[in-house]
Amino acid sequence: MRDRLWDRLRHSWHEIWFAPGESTNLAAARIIVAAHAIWVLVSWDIASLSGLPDGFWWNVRQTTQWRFFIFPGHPGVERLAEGVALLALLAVLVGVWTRGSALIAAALLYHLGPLQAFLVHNDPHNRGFTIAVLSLVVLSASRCADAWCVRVRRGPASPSEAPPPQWEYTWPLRLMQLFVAQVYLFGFWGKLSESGLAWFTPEQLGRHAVIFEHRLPGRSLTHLGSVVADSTLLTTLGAVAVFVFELGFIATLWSRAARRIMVPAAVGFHIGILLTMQIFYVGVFHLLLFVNWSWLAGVLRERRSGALPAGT
Amino acid sequence: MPDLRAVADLVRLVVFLAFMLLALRAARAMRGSGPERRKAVGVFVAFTVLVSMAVGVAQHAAWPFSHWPMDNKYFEAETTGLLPFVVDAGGEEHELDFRALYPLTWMDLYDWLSQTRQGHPEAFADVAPWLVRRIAEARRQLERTGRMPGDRWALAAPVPLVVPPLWTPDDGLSPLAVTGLRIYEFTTNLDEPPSVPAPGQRTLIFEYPAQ
Repeated sequence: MRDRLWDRLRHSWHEIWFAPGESTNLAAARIIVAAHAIWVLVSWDIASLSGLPDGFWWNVRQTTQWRFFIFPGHPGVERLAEGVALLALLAVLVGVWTRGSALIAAALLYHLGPLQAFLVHNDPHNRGFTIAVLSLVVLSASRCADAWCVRVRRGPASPSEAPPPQWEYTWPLRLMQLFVAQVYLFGFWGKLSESGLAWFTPEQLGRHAVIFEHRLPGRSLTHLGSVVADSTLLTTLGAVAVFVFELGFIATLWSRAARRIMVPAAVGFHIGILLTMQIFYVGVFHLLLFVNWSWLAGVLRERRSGALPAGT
Repeated sequence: MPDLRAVADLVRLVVFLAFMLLALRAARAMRGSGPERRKAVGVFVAFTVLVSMAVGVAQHAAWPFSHWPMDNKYFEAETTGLLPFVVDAGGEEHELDFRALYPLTWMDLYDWLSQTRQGHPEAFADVAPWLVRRIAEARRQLERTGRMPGDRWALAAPVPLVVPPLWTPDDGLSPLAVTGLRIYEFTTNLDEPPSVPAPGQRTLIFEYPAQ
């Protein structure tokens, strides 16, 4: 009985992480992660935060500074770190020297991410580098540049060189998808452990919908938060939707049907949060990691001949 | 007795370094045999899944392994907020446009002000002159060029808390010479319609220059 359970667990583990995959899907993930990180990096003047007056850093422990290698007062050095990170990310984007470049980019973004919030928070989860750092480390250990990359001239391939096994293209993508799914799973778990089931009540959802309309009076984007909070139907539906969506998103790791429902639902979820709570989740573009790019590329290729590839 | 928070910091660093080293080991195993590579990848995947799940379940941050605290707070009907006002040369107050704080965000400054008020209120006096200079320069830039430092480029990644612009070149305040900054705390009831707190309904918690 115990052996059968163990075998089933091993089989499921193998199915999730080591089933055959497509090199183009992993290459697309490489491009999405790198392009997104570049976008966030060039959007912010992170380096200048190193030049904030000393008074801003009173609450930062020395061990935290060592943990992230952040020592205030060196905007020039940080500018250099930004530049090297940008070059490394560009190399990852085009698929040149990806293993080394991805690891360098990950190390530098690990350093720059917390600086973005000048260590007010040690967990800068909503700044755009959380999934990037983890994914870049994963990409550095993967065959993510076997497709959709700039070819650098190398020596002739050995005739005996066998193509890599197809599982090489599954585990890295699945890990990156896990990082995205954890956003919602731990969002659910955090609410449950901090506030209990009381969080998922219409009253509580209504209060969350209007929190920034109250904290920033007169500076609302849409006033939709108040519309939601004033409607028992909308707050009830919202509370149920958050419960089901945040708990259910993890199924996207093993279920194609879940991906088809949950990924568009996630986009709607973030649009709803933006319009009511005024919070833009910069990591929303990582949902593109769930798109079957290999199938999409096949559709575009085959369209000329009029035959569609099977499966999505 | 060692500071447990310091120990936790070092443990988190070690976990991240182990994550990177295992990735490096898996990458190097590509040169080896198939089973060797598979084993190295298996260890890396197991470590990553275990650590990332443990961090989330325990709800203890170990960034970049995040526990994703996504609006988990339970709100009572009555809650408090902070409002910043700039002061002009004539002593008159005006609401602050958060774009003037760039590259700081209001969310981060809000948290810093809350922490500082609890733990080290004197720190406000250290940073306030810098903040006021920054805001004054941003206002001058707006009046000169029509743009603020926080405007950046059209497709730049938005700040986490999206707030409509408040100051414009023709907002009737120009020339606005910013000379001071005041931070007020106010109480609001989330079950009632939102409203701007009247001067009598808010408490001054930080002021520069101090009166």
